[in-house]
Amino acid sequence: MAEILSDRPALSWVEVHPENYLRNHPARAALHQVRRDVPVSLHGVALSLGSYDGLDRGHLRELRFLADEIGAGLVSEHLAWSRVGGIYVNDLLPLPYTDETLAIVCRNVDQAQEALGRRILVENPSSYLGFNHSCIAEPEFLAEIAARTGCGLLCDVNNIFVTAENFGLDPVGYIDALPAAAIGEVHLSGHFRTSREGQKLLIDDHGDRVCPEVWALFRHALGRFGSVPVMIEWDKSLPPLAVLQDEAARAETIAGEVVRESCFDIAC
Amino acid sequence: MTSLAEVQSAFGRAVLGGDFSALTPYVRTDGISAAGRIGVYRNNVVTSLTALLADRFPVVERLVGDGYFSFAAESFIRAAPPGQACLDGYGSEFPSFLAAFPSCAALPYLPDVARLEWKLFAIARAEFAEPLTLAALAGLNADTAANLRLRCDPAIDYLASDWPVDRIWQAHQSDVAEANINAGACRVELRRYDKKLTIRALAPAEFAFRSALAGGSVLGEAVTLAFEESGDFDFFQALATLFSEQWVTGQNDPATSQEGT
Repeated sequence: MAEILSDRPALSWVEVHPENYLRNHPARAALHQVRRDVPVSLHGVALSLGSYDGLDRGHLRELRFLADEIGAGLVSEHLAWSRVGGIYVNDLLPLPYTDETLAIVCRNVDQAQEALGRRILVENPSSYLGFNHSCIAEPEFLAEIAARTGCGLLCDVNNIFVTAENFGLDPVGYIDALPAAAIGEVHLSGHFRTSREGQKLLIDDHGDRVCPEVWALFRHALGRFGSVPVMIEWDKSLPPLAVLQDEAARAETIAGEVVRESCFDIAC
Repeated sequence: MTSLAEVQSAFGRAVLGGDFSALTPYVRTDGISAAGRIGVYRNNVVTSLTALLADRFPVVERLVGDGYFSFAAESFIRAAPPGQACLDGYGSEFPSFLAAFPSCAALPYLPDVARLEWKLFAIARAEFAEPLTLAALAGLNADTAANLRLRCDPAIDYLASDWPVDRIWQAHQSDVAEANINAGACRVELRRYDKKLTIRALAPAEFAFRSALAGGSVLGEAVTLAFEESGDFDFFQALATLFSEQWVTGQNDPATSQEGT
């Protein structure tokens, strides 16, 4: 944030985790300064859209206040949960994909959109654990949430790759099963390769450059979704801003190529 | 039929308490065991909260070493997990947890070092408030002055300790000096100036006066407490200094305001 304020690089927009700005007054003041030059979008990590216990109304009020104050361009959250019995687990925990969960998530998304006074985007998570009683595939589950609540979807291409690698799924099939019209934003990031019990496991740590497979999936995704805002996420071992700008430039180049390809398709 | 409530309650016990038994039957175990998969989430939760505490209590971590700090942090996370989506307040109970943690008894000053670090963390994030000038007291009625309340800059706090925690903290800002832990008690004012955090030792009477006012005491009470510390306390000088140091950001004169009545 300091680098953005001192160097004033050419950025199309800035996306932040709202939780870091709710009660930290100097950080909030800095965000207001950034907002003077570029639009700001909010990418929440603690709303807990998948909680059986429902949403925290106090947190929603604080979020609404911040979103209104900075005129947030987009507000997004995850298909995950973190709140149970009044306790917040500081992580995006996985959900069993069942009819019961679908009803609960839709109830919570409805409540969030009403409390925030705007449409939200729901992002596909990275998963390391599946449930025996899950009976709906994740992209269909997301499509159904969008259809029932009118929310948009945030397609994190790296998360699709991580989840697909961890569970032996087809990432292209996943992207093709998402409702293209509902996609309001795309995320890209790096991940970390490790193993458990002799089996490979990819961990989404937002701590590296985007890998070649994810760039290829990104190209495929844009072919389906058309022109949508793209964000590079990097939270851990933060590189100089120039590296982030380099990744963003690459995303822009691919987006430009995909648009030209689709124009060519139409012309033929 | 499995309900989401059961799964989430079992998941909470697994990641925060380390008891995987209730969650295990629900977990698909293709290739990696349930324990291996749950462990990824438990590790994420514990390491990220430990890192958050280490960021807020860096001197405590240096004093006890990172291995012991992780052990204490994990015990704390298990005993007092976060209760709010916004984690800004998380760790406020860590100093009192350390005070009651049996294996910390060998470092009796540790809880107060933690209190100092927590207060510094909190004032660093405090809101900005415009200071008042002494002119704000121009219409003060001498009869009611004793009941006047002054609002302190939110980026100021006070700490009294039986240990020289200010010197211990200072010594750990660089590698040059070891603090003498037998240097005695301290009474300090902590303040954010612009972005810089400062720690200043105060004389007992001035500490009593300022910390009482900051804690919400009326002027009369604060002066009484200051005189109990020292008969030489110069009230007018102390009051003028509060204004010259831009300490006062609001006032409630009972003669002119209904606030707080």
